[in-house]
Formats: sequence, structure tokens, C-alpha cells
Amino acid sequence: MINLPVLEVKNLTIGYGDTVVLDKINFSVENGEVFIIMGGSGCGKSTLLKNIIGLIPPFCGDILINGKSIITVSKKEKQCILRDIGVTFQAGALFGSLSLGENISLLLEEYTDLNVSERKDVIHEKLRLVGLEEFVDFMPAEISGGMRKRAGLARAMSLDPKLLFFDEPSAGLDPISSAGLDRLILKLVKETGSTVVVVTHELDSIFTIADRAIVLNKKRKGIVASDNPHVLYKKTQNEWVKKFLARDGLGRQI
Amino acid sequence: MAKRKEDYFFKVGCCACDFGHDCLSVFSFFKDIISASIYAVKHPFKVRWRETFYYMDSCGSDAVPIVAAVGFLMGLVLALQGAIQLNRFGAKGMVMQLVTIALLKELGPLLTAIVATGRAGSAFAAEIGTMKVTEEIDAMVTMGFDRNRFLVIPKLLAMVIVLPILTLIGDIAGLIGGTVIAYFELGISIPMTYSTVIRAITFSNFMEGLVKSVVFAFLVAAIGCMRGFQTKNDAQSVGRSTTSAVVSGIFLVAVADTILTIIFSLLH
Repeated sequence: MINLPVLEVKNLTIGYGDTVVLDKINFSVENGEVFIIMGGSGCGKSTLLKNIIGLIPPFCGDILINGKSIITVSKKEKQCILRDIGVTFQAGALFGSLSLGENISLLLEEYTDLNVSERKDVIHEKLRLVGLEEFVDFMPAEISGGMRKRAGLARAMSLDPKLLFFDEPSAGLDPISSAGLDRLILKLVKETGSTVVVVTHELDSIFTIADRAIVLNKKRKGIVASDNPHVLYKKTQNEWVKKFLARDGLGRQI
Repeated sequence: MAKRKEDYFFKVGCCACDFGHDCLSVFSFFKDIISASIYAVKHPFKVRWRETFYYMDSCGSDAVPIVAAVGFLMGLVLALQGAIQLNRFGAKGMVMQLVTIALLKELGPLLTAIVATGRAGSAFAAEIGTMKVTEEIDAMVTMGFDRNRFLVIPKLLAMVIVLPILTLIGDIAGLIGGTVIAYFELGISIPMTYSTVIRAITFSNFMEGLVKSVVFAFLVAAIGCMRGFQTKNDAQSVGRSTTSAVVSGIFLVAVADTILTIIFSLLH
């Protein structure tokens, strides 16, 4: 039996209006790995993520999730494919009018036949996983930014997706919270076997959690390096990638 | 000088293109929400009723004082102006007939819709716009949810239920205002006023106002939601969407009022 990549990006060209941000890029993500999309500011990391999760249509190329294209399918089929993935946005993107419990319950109500008590159990389990089981009745505005991100992660995991996306998980967090979130991602991969794709430029996180990474470059409008970040740091011949991973050559030690 | 003229024509052309593009967006959005409304009618258990009741409360009961106050003052002014003009022809006894017909067919639905545009239309645009900025709409799309079903239908349904009731409240307040002038200024007794009002309220007059208020409710809610969805990812854009929801809402209500009035006059 052939193991299909969980995510496959083929000859993808993306951008805004008439501007091409990334041109004909190719990469794939294997089952169970933590995959990082990194690069400098404005290189198109978030735009790429928005294309992959179906928020923006690409100029050309294809995106396959579990072997199914999200570009060529109908709107309804695309919605079905998207149900199998989980996305954690930069600020959590929790629905402000619903409590944390209700935010998680919404997906369960829509896509499962669970009764109220079973839903409560799932909500409790997901919030426990992110360390927020005591905050089930809190509104998103009543908790901190880091907690909102963790609650967003709990919601993204409510249907047990096998593929999880994180958009800048460390952005705006203090180093301790950021490290906590990294540990949470690793724990998640270990416990659920999910595949994780993270968009970030936080080097501490990258070196801690990544199995594999691609480095995007604004000038080249494409991928300039692809490997394990530790390997890239030691062996890459690309000067820009070297500078990027060594924080502009300031002698970073890993 | 020639360059200035060219600039002027270029700007006029751009404005015309923008207006045309905006009209197309409005039609396309209305088409989407009409199909979402048909789906809601066919599957009522899929409607988010909790949110619908919330919006009925915030757009309905909270708006009663302002609608009643505006209606009362309009009735007062209409009766006063009408009395001055009708008195010239010795027909001051017909003042309440004028007030009743004007309120029921025209001013009641129109003024209530304008108040609703200022309150609910702008609130809908601001709410959805803020959700856009905080990526809640993106989250909704990635969860495979239909944004129209979740965000538009509850608001639309709430407005379609609530606005006709508000219009009725505005009409009653306006008639009370007219009665005050008729009694204190013109010396017309209250039983006399009452019988004039009852005679003026015909089924067709009542239905004309009702149909108008339902159409206005649809337009106010739809344009408010649409402007919210058009918000860009910054706080200033939320402000622009809110303003645009009010301006477009009032414009659409005025256009729809004209069209409906012509249709009803042809039907009569």
C-alpha cells in the first residue's frame, strides 16, 4: 500500500491581485511529522497557509489534502475536505459571542450525533488537553492571549483532525507561554499522531518542534531550502538561509 | 486645463465603474442569501434560533422607545402641517385621514426602516466587520460552515419578524401624536378622531405598509451584513463598512420605496 502524503503542494503560484508572491512551489508533508513553513516577513508564509486552507484561491497549481484536490472540487466537496483539518489562527479566532465550551461544542453539534452529555465529555477532554478545563464557561474576552490560542487549539482538535495548521502560534506570547505552546504541540503529536504544519519565523520554536522545514524567500518568490532545521543550520550553502537561521550571523548557538 | 478635464472624466468614469461593480456585488450577495433563506425555510431546525431571538431582542425591543418617539413626533408634525393646509379649504376635519394614510402607507415603514438602518444595519456591519478583522470569519470557512447560514440568516429573520411590528408601533405612536393636535389645536373630539382613523385604515393601506416594512427589513439586514463581509483587515475599515451600511441601507430603502409605491399605485 502506498503512503500518500497528508498534504501535497504542486506547482503552486499564489499572490494578491496581479502580484505573484510565490511562484511554482512544490512540497509535501508526510503523516505524523511537524512541518514548518518559515521565512522572513512578507515572504508569503501566511498567504501560502491561506491558500492551503482554502481561504484564497491560488493563481495556478494544485493543493492535495489526503490525496484530494481542494482546487478542482466543488464548494460542497471542499467543505467536506476542510472538515478533516484543524486550523489555529494567530489570535485564536474564537467566536466572541460564545463561551470556550460553546466554541468547541459548535463543531460537535454540526458534524456529530453526540448528545449533550457526550458533547460535554469531549469539551472537557479537549480543554483538559490544553490545560483550560476550568475555563469552560469563560468568554474569549475574559482570558489572556495565550489562553485564547490554546482554546483555539482545543476547538481545532474537537473533531480529532489528522492534520493541524498553526498560524504564527508564538506571535505576541512571552517566552514562557511560547515554550509552553511548543510543548503542547509536541504532546499533541505524540498523543494523537496528528500531522502538524506550522507557519512561523520564531527560531526557538522552529528548532524545538520541527521535523522538517521549508524556507521561503521574498526575492526568489519560492523555496530556497528544505530539510530538518538543525541540518539546515549546519549544512546549508545558501547564505540567506544561513543568516536567517543564525539571526543575521550573530553567532547563535544551538 | 485639458489635463484637468481628463482627470475629471477619469474620476467620473472610475466612480461609475465602482458603482456598477458595487451593484453587481449587491445582486450577487442577495442571490446567495435568497438561496440561504430558501434552505432555512426548508430546514427550520437548521436555523440558529438562539441567535435569531438575540437579534430580535436587540433590534426589536431595544428600538421601541426611539421608534415610538419618532413616530409620535411625525404624527404631531404631519397633523399640524396638514391642518394649516386643509384649513384653507375648510377641510380641517380630514386631518386625521391624511395622517392615517400617510403614516400607514408611507411614513411609518420608511421612518422605522431608517431608524433600523441606523441601529441594526450599522451594528450588523460592525459585528461582522470585527469578526473579519479577528479572523473569526476565516475560522468559520475553514470549519466548513456556511457563513450565510450562521451569520446572515439569524439577523435577516430577526429583522423580517421585528420590523413590521416596530412599524406598527411607530404607526400607533404617530396616530396618537396626530390625535393630540386634532384635539388640542383643532378641537376635534377623540371619538370623532377615532372613527375617522378607523375609516381610513383599509386592508390595502395596511398591507401596503406591511409589505414595504418586510422588504425594507430584508434590505437593511442584507446590506448591513454585506458591508460587514466587505471589511478589510483593519479597524478603520470597520468604521467605513459601518458608515457604508447606513448610507447604502437608506439609499436602497428609498429606491425600494419608490418602486413599491409605483407598483401599488398601478395595482390600485
